[in-house]
Amino acid sequence: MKLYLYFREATRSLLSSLQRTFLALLGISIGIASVIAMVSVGEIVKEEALRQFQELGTDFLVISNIADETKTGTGIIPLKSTVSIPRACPSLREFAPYAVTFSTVICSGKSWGSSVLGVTGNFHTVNKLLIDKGRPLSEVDQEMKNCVIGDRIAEQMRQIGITNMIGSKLLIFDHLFTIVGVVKQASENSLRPQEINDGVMIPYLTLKRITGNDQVTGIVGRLKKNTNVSAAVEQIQGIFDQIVREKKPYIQTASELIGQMNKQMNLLTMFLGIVGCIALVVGGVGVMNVMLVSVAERRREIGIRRALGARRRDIQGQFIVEAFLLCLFGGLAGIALGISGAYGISRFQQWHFFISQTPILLGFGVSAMVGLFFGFYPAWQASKLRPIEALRAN
Amino acid sequence: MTAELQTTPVIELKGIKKTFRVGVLDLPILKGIDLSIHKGEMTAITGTSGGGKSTLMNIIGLLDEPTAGAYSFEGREVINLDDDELSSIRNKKIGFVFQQFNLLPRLSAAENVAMPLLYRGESIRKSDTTARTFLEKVGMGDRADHNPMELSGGQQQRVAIARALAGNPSIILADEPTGALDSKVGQEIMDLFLRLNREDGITIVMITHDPRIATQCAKRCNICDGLIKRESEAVS
Repeated sequence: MKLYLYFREATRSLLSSLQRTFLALLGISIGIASVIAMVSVGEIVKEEALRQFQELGTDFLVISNIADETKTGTGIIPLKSTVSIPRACPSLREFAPYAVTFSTVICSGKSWGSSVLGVTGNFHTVNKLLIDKGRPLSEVDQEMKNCVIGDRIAEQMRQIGITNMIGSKLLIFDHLFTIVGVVKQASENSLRPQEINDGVMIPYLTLKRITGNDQVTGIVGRLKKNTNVSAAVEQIQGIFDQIVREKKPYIQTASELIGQMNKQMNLLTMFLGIVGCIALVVGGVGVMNVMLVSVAERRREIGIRRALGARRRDIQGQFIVEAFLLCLFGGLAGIALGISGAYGISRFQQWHFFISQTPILLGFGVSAMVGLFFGFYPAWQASKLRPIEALRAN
Repeated sequence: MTAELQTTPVIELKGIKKTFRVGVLDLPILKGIDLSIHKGEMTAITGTSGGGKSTLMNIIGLLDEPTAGAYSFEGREVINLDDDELSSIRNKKIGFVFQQFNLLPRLSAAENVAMPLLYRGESIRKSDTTARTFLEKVGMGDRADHNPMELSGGQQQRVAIARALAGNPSIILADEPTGALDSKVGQEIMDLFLRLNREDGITIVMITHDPRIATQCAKRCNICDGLIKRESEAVS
């Protein structure tokens, strides 16, 4: 192998026809850039989607589908039945049953329809809710007419000119409630009860006393560390089978959901990668085209080299190295281009930008492969030229 | 003057035929050439254009294969050698000089001269030294780092001759080496060949259609209609 010779000749040849080299580089760069940008965007979207769940914690768990849908606002298990659950399921670390009803909320003569959640004192910690102003509800508030409002009610109050919400009064179920806190908007698409952002949270026992409704709509909880999630889910399922036979609760855990999302998002990334690869193949065909033209243009040179004693593999080596170098430098440019592309897209979409090594390694690997693959045929053609015919060419 | 009695000629052709196929017709170009070239000889191959001179040269230079006949190079049968072996013989045993010089345009004179050595596997440094020595020999020492484009025709042909010599070949094959040059420069090139033959004993085969060039060669073969019509040894 006279690699140094092949590299020298290939570099000279590439430098001597800059326009051709540039066009080939452009094609391959765009190809590599699209692979990298696509795969990066795929990974960023995946992280973005998972972030909402990860922020909630992988130990989060929600039990739903225990309400009776025929009668809105009424559950089928009373609060006291749920008390036994933590004892029966030792892997549950925290546990917060809640009830959802619906009421008109009146404030300064304006009225809105809103969800009203009856919550326990640990509801906001289990849901990892962030307090924007004031304080969350605690056990001390039980049976008191204090409430915490979600983001939507806060926005509506702001619209009618109320900026100092803490201490303001809301009329709910014809009872006057004092706002003690405002919850920051919780990310959507998570497992949290969706009513948190839309509604008003009041103490569970207050809700029970006013409406006479003692039925739990759902339960949020947290599992202990290193718990076998599916075993815990089965256990909880078993408990519910004993409490309520006619209805199967729907138990979702963050860790399972994250696993599913991971799978889906990996599919997405793969799909995007394939789309990028198509661009790469087009770029590779461009390189092949440029190389074939180059071989055709340089037949005489090939003939001279053959007359001077270059073997077929010397000619082939020179042209493969040329294609390889094209793809390598195209790859470098493409990596830079792809990363900037991914950065631009995530800036535009306000995603958290990051770049993992996978697309970069992929880009390098693939561009080298493309170079060798698409460089091989033209190089083989060049090496197959009969010396006498090559020499005669003009 | 008698030819030196060599046990093995550098080149020995026996009954070389070459037929080209044009459409459905077989066009015989060479119809049975017998030719021996011995070490130290300077041979001119003359003939009308289209008479098969270049075809014969290409066959001698292992760039083309004859349709029939036997060819031994320094006693070695070369007709059925594979491509790598032919390349190796071209690389080590044959130096080509072309009418159009055929220097590689992107390389300097020295790099052009070094090329056969590089294909042989020599290092860049060592082959560069050898190349400069040979450029010196053909009077181009001060142009070693020039590109072919910067050189005149005569200068390019000198570089090409240095390239042909650099590999220390057994024979130099020159195909109309003065054909693209004016007669004055052509004669200078011819003088260089004569000097190399006389002083260094280099074996040279030269195609030419120019009788003024041909008469300066000790041995002349006239090819006409695919056959060697006249072989003469001139006393110069």
